[in-house]
Amino acid sequence: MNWEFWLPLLVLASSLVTALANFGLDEERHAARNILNLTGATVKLVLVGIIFWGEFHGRLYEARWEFLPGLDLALRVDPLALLFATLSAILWLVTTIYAIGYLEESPNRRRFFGFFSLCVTATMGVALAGNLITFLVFYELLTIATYPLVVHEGTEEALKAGRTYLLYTVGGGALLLTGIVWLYGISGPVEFVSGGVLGDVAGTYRYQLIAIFAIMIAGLGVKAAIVPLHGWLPQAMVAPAPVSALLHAVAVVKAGAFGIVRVIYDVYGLSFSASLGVLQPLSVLAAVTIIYGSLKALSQDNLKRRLAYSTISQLSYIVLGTTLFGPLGTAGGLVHLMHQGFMKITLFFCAGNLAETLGIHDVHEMNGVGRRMPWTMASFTVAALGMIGIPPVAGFVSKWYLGLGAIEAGQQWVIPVLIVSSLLNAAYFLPIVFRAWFREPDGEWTELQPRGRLEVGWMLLVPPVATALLALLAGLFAGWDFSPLGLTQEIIEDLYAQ
Amino acid sequence: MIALWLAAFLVPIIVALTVVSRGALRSAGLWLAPWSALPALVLALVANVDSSYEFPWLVLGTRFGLDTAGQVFLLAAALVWLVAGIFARDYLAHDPERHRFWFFFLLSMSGNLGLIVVEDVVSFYVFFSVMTFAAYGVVVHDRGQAAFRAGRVYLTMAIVGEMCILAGMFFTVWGAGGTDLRIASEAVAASPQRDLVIALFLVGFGVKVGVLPLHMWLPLAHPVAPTPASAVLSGCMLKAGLLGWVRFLPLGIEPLVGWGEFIMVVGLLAAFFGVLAGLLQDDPKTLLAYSSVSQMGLLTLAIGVGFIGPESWDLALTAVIVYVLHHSLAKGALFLGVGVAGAVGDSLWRRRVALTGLAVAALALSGAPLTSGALAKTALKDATHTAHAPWADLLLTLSAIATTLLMVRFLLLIRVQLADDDSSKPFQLWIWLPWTGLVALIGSIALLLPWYVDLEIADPTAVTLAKIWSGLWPVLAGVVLFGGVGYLARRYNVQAPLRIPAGDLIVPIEAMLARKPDLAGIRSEVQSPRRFVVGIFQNRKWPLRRIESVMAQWGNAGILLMSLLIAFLLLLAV
Repeated sequence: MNWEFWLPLLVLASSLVTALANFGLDEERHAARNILNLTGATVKLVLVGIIFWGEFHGRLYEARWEFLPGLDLALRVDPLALLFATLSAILWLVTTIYAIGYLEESPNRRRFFGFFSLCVTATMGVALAGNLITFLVFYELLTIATYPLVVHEGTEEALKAGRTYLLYTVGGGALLLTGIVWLYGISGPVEFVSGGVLGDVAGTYRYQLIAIFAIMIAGLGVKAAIVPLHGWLPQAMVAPAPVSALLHAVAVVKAGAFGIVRVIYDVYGLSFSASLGVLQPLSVLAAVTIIYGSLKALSQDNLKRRLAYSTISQLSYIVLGTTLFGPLGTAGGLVHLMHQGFMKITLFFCAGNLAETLGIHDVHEMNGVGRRMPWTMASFTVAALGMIGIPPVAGFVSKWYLGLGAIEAGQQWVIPVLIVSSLLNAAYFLPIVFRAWFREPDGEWTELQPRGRLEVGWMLLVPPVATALLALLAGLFAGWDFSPLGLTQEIIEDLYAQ
Repeated sequence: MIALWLAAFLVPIIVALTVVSRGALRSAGLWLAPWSALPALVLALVANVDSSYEFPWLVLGTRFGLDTAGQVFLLAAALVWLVAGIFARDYLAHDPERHRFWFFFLLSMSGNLGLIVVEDVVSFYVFFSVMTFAAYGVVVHDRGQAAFRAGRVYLTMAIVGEMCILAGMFFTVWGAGGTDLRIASEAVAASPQRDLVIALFLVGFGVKVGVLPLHMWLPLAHPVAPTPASAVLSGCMLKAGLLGWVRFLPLGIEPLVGWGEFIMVVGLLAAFFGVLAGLLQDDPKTLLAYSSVSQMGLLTLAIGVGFIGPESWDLALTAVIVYVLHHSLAKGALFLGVGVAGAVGDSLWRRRVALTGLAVAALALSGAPLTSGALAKTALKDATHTAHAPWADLLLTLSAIATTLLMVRFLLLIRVQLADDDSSKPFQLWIWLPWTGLVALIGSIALLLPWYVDLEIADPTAVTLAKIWSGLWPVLAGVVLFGGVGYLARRYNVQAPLRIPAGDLIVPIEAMLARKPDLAGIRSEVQSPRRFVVGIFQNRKWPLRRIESVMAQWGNAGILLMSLLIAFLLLLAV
């Protein structure tokens, strides 16, 4: 009985208990539900904060028990887990506030918040998983917990999107399972160890290991929305705004990207992956995704669809950084894990505000909205500029390290990819910013919805402003030890220590 | 002391944020806004060249510091920003959207001043970007169709420029092993991709400088921007691009004669093309924009000289420093003068003051003796003497004549404008005071400069008749030539044989984009680069569209998974 054992479990429990309590609570008891969810999110943030402090002071948090003979379930806090857990805990609290504001007056809130908390439990499990089996368990739980959220509105379109989502992700999960079983057959249980664990069996099983790598990446690539496995993501944007926000910033897509990072860094090991020759094809695939997603985003008029394609593109920055062999490229990929979260969640919050308050769903209706919703659009602008990579917003820091990492890894071809992607990002984000601030208001919304003292309820306003601020500060103070960039340094030291 | 460094760029940012707030805070902001460049000016006057401050936690590690070049760039920029700011106070007093102008004006100011006082690559890029993007807001302040067009051209070119700069910086920082700006140029010189990096920086910063043929945004943006904004665009922001060249190009390290000669030729072409295109303009601000293209061409020439060898760069850098100070003040005064001329009305003495002031600034730009222009041109000639370019002397003299032609044309345009204006206008002290101060400074800066910085320039007090004559005759020749040609043209009723629309090359380029190109059979009307790409995608013949709809069908997920696996394995086999 010690804190090192219990804290990781408590982190999971904080949202699992919230989830169960939500299911037990009557639909009509809104105030109790709100307090419950906010408490759950706050407790989790505090717990993650304590772990953060402990890890910084050299504590090793691990919870492990045998659930099948020879198979352990393990939760362990290493720097990489902490990075993802911190991101999830912060963004979950923000999204909870937003969701409460967004779903006021709407039905089925019991179901929504129940699965919402379950979804975060799964995400936390993915973050803290200490071996492949634990990872898989939570990864699959995430798939299932997210489905009711995607189809929450219950419309024909939502159900269709849900079907697509399920088929893709269950297929991906099956592939991942195949890969893991095959790998266990070769090497026994695989723990996540910085630098990888497969060096010993390398000689005998080289080609099998390559095949397993391909299978696992394909399985994870579904959630990470690597082209051509991204088809479900633009459809899933029918989900309510808080779900889209969480889906695109932390929960589902990030779990895929995080899984790829785990497989390359902690299962195969970076040097071993490089010697297998599997990094180069993956970086090509990531580059294709980056460009393809941006190109598709250009032609979308629906705001959320445009953001969805942008997510496809931005996620592959993480994958790309992971495949660049060298500390700088690694930093670029890992730091984007957090940066993309801050920026993308802001964009979806803002899109939700526009839809909820003014009924705006399409880019062409956005003329002059900056005057009606200045704070929302200011947050949107900061995040959009960050996505393009304009300093000092966080996205610039990611791009800077990816560019340097490309040269370090001897992959100069990545630089034109980054440049073209930035140009495309500018081409689909700046017209939105331009319409919002520089055009005269002319949409139907100008007559509707007179402005109150605030442009929108505070529960819908504070979250995007806060996350936009985080995105700005993460770039502005990137050199600080506890900035997202600072947090990646410890991971990198471990990774390149060998 | 450190507070002053931070204030130089933080004060404009803070004031910018207050002007977009509400109530009393906004009023306070609007009241303070014109004076926001004061801390930077004080810094330029008192800064110790050797001092530096480091903030490792700021962005990716920020370092503040000033060398001699930076000091003079800062002085020039702070002066013109301050004067333009004070000028804008009354100029925009009745504009209901003036808070919007101030917001973007102050942000560009912060970026412009900030990039001068930093000594690390990343912060330089940060401030440069802030300036670039904020300047869009001042260019389109008018919100008319012309303003939006100018803004679109400006922003498109600027973003492409930013990307070139960023790519160049990747190689630079990788080569230097750190972000120290002071060793950036050495890293570029030693880089295995040296020529690529040089090309990236030439193009990237060249957009800002307005180097031929990347000058197209200049003649569009200057006339549509409010006058104080045009003044700082030409007076300060173009120089930020030049400072980028000074900081990043491998100047004075080893001779790169090929690059040097190429850049010198490009600069000289711009010097004459700018005058030619400017002469054919009817709008005084468009004319001045082309004059900036021409003058920046001369500065480009100086950069080219710097490539020739280390001893050339010593002199060329001096020329650049003096020229920048001179051109910032003179061009600032000329642009603001256009605004001043608009505030003359029917008052006779105001008309005289305006014309006299403009004439002084125009003379300085032409390089008339005793002005800052004479000092700058002498320094430039001295530099070219080291570059084995015997033709440079002659061409520089010709360029002085050409500039005079352009300035005569400018003064005539203003005079016509003044003669047409017989309305009664109130006297606005804060328009006239800063402007006359700036004009006075142009007359005296040549004498003050030696006290300010230690540069190897000709002693401005050692005036001889021969020197005066060598500066004076091109100006006289220009005036006589203009009069003579003008007289003959009127006498024989000859029209100008060609017209150059503002923005020159951009006009056919826009037309090309707007045509319905048969490229891949696109049918939609294409108005912007974005639409162009979108058009390609939406074309039914284009396979991508079909592929996407296939992928959107859930039944195909399994097939896709398999095909991805196969593709991945194939890639591995390669």
